[in-house]
Parts: sequence; structure tokens; C-alpha cells
Amino acid sequence: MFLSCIESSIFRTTIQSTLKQCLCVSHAKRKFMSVRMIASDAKAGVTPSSQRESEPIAASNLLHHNTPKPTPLKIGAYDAKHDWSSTKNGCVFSIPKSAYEKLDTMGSITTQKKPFSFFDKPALLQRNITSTIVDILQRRTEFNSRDARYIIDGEPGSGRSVALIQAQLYAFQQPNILLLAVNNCDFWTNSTSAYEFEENSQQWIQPNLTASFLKPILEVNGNLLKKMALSNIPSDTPSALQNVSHLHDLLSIGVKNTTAAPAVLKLFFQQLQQLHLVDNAPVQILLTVDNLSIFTVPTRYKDPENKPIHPFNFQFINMIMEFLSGKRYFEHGTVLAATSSRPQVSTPSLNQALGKKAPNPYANLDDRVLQTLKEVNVLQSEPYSLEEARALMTYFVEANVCLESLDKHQQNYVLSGGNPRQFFHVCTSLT
Amino acid sequence: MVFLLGVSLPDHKPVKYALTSFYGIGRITAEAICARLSFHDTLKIQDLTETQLTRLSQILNGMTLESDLKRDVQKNIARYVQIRSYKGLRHSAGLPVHGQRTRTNAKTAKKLNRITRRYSTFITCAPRSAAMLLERITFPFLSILKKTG
Repeated sequence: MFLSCIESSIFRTTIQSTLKQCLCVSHAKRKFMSVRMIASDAKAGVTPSSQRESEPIAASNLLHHNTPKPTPLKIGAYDAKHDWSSTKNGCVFSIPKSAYEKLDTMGSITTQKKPFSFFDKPALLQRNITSTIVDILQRRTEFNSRDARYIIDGEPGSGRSVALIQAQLYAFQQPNILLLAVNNCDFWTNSTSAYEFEENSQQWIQPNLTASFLKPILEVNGNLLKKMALSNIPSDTPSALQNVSHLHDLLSIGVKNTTAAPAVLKLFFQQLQQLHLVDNAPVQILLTVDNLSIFTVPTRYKDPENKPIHPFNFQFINMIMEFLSGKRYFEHGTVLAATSSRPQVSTPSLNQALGKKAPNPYANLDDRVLQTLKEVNVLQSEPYSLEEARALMTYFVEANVCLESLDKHQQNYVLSGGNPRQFFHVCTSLT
Repeated sequence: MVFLLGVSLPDHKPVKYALTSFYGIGRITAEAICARLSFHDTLKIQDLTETQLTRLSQILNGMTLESDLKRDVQKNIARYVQIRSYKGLRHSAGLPVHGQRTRTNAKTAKKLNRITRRYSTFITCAPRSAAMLLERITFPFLSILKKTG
């Protein structure tokens, strides 16, 4: 009916001008509405103007109408030539699939998988703490780990675990860095795995968990371990391990035979304390511990008297804390630990050791924890700066994860307080 | 299913909760047994090895459980009744023993307190007064028979 009425050219022109005035649509919206003047134009032979072209438009154009398009963010690729210098701070770099799979094998990205799932390619922001850690790792080629013990501390969601991930990514790049990652610390203390008392060492051992710790080390560092030979094997080593030639074979025994895993772990760490040369270059050991907080509170395991077992009475945890305290050390290596707020536990001794609280003579603190963490260096994980927030939001907008315009980055920065976790939630929330 | 001392333990249950199926073992005792045997919290009955089952049986055999425990409780009550103590009289009368009010409530005591104490409120039987009367009549004869062997 309506189309038949506008067949005459004069009446059609009048109707069109009236429609333009009444609807008051801008160029973009008119396109989005995709109004067609079909039959009458074709009959009259009038070529439709560019303003009447009906093209379906994506919602993104409508949402970003009248806002300048953000300058395309160059996302660097993490590869062998990735520049870790401080000049690249504030830049986003993507993680390739091979490195992502290695991180997944190590169990380093358990909590980061959900945010990474938003993007086609997971990416990380290089920050000041990243370049600080890389500086430390680069300087560690000539010194032992006794002088390179660091704890990354900060507010919940400030990026402590991500800093460890970036250290691990740096280690993947270097051919002579052996990475030992302890990521599932809560499993070692929450009484979900078998445990037994070893009379020889007077310590508690967890064979299944030990085997599960050795397996990803073997998978990720296999090539390097094949080149590291055993030497100076202690006399109290079980006979089955006396004739093993290389660390790769040693770890394979521990992975296949869970009952032998504690003995393998003990020998493995003893061997790592010695100097190893691969291709005439010393092997550097990087030990990362995520969620150190859980190792500073009593475990849920019970001794035969039904009392909670102290975490340092476990063979594995004791070894890790000895490296962190400097009692044991790698000839060339670094120990990086990060505190965590998940699961949330009260850690008065750790807070005291890190200097977060003033010394309280009446507080019931754990002396063993205080002595262990007495002289460890603390790296603070800072909130985002405004420039970092802008760079990250640009990446979110480019990846179509954030539906807001880029000029909202300051608002989101204020709302989140610069906290990385909160900033991600604010940028990606739909309300 | 694992049968231990006449009680079947479901395979899917963690050991520290399955042990509470025994009469005489509650949550605390079960946790103490698991701690003594170094069983972690999520260890299930189906994951127990033969050695662990043997050690568990040894510990349970050393405890008074099930019918032995019930027999001990009965003996204690019978002793109270025999020496005509206040507690014995309250058991005989089917009234609360520990000083609770009787003007109202006391329903549980009236159902369960007997010379031969019952262990469940779900058992239905003869009216309270008739059952108690029968017990009072037969109890002295039963005790004499036991003494004479």
C-alpha cells in the first residue's frame, strides 16, 4: 500500500524528504536500519543515493559511532627474539600455542585459563615487575641461588602468579634454564593424597604427589635433562638408582614407580645442587613456587596422635623451603616464590616475615617460618599505571572483548583501583 | 562393599565417614583412627589395600563396638537397677535419668528408657505401661537364672 502510493516521482520525493526530517537519522543509523526503496526507484530509474544504500552493519559500528577508532595495538609475539627489556614495558605480547601447552603441562595457568578463554590468542602485558624478574634471571648466570631468593607479594589480584608465568616464559626461551615449577601447593597440604612416615629421614613423604611433580618437569625439560649426567651419587641412595646415567632416566623411574618417587626426588635435588654443564654452558635452575602462603600454615594432615602436621615436616615442602631459606642452593639458579590469596588462609607468620605487620611479642607465630623467610628479598607486585591500563584496554577493545570505547579506560582504571583482576572484570562486564 | 566386623562399608564413601557406621564410633573417633593409620581425608573404602584393611581390622578388634558395647550398656543399667540406685529407679520407671523436667516433654526417655534399654524411637510395640509391667515381673527371674547359670 505504502509502496504503491509513492510511484509518482513527485510524491515520492516529498515522502522521502519528510521521512528524512521525521526520522532524523544519522548516516550510520540509517544504514543499520537498512530501509529499502526498491520497486519505485527501479521503475523510475533513479539511482539510489549513497545515503539510501541498505547495508547491514555490525553492532560494533553502531556502538562505536562518533568515537574515533583506536589505533591498532601492535601485539608482539612471544618468540625466541622477544625483547624483555624495560623499553617494552606496557606492551602486550601474545603467547604461542607451544608455550601455552608447556605452561598448561606445568599447571601454571590453572586460574588464568578462564580469562584466557575470552581471547583467540592469550596474551600478557609486560610490566615493570616482568623486567625486574628478567634482570634478575639474566644476572644469575654467575651466582648461586643463595643470593637470588625472591618472594613476589602484593594485593589479591595484583598479578603475582602472572609475574611467575612471565618468568617461566623467559625460561622457555633460554636453552640452558631448567624450570622447576611448584603450582599446586594446596594439594600438598589439604590431605587429599596418600602420605606416610619415612623412618630413615624422619619425615613424611607423599609418593603420588611427588610423582605428579616430577612428571611435568620431565615433559617440559626433557631435552635438557638428557644432557645432564649424574655424578657424586650418595652412598645411601637405593641400589635401583645407583646405576642411572642421566637425570632424564632418573625422573622417568620416579614417574613410573610412585613408591620410588620420594627417593628419586631426593637424589634429583641433590644432583641439581651440583654444577652441570651443557654445551659448555652452566645450567641455570629456576625454581618457582606459586601460593607460598599455604606452606606457612599447619596442614590438614594428621600425625598418629591426631595433631596437625607442620608443613616443614614433609620431605617435599621441607626441600623447597630449604632452597628458599638458602640452606640449600643451586650453583647457578634463582628461587622465585609468590604469595597467594586463593585459597584464603590466615598467615600471621608469613605477614610478619615479609614485614607487613609490626612485630607482636604476644602473637603466636611460627618460628620455623620466620627463620626460613628471614633474609628473603621481597618484590612488590604493583597495581596498573594509567598507561598500562590504556594499553590493556586497547587490546581488549581490539579483541572485541570489551564493548566500551577506549576513552572509558580512565573510568575503568578508577573503578578497579588499578587492580589487574578487577580491571579485567570491569572491562569485560556486560552491565 | 567391604564387610568388617559384621558391618558393610560402602565402597564410594571416604573411610573417615564410613567408620561412623559402626555402633560405638562417631566422627571424632573415626578421625582419630584415620590419623593413627595415616589415612588422608579423601581415601575411599575401595582404595584401601589389604595391608591397610588388616591394620584397620586390628584396631577395630581392640575396641568395644556393636553388640559388645550394647551388652556393656545393658549390664551397666542392670547394675543400677539391682543396687536400687536413683538411676536404676529412673530406668525402671522409664523416666529421664539425668535430671530433666518431666512436667512436660521427656518423650524420648519415656520411649527408650527401660531396664533393657531400647536404641531407636522407630520401634513400635505394646503400650508403655504394659511393656514395663512385663519387664518388672520377668527381670528378677531372668537375673536369678543368669546367676545360677
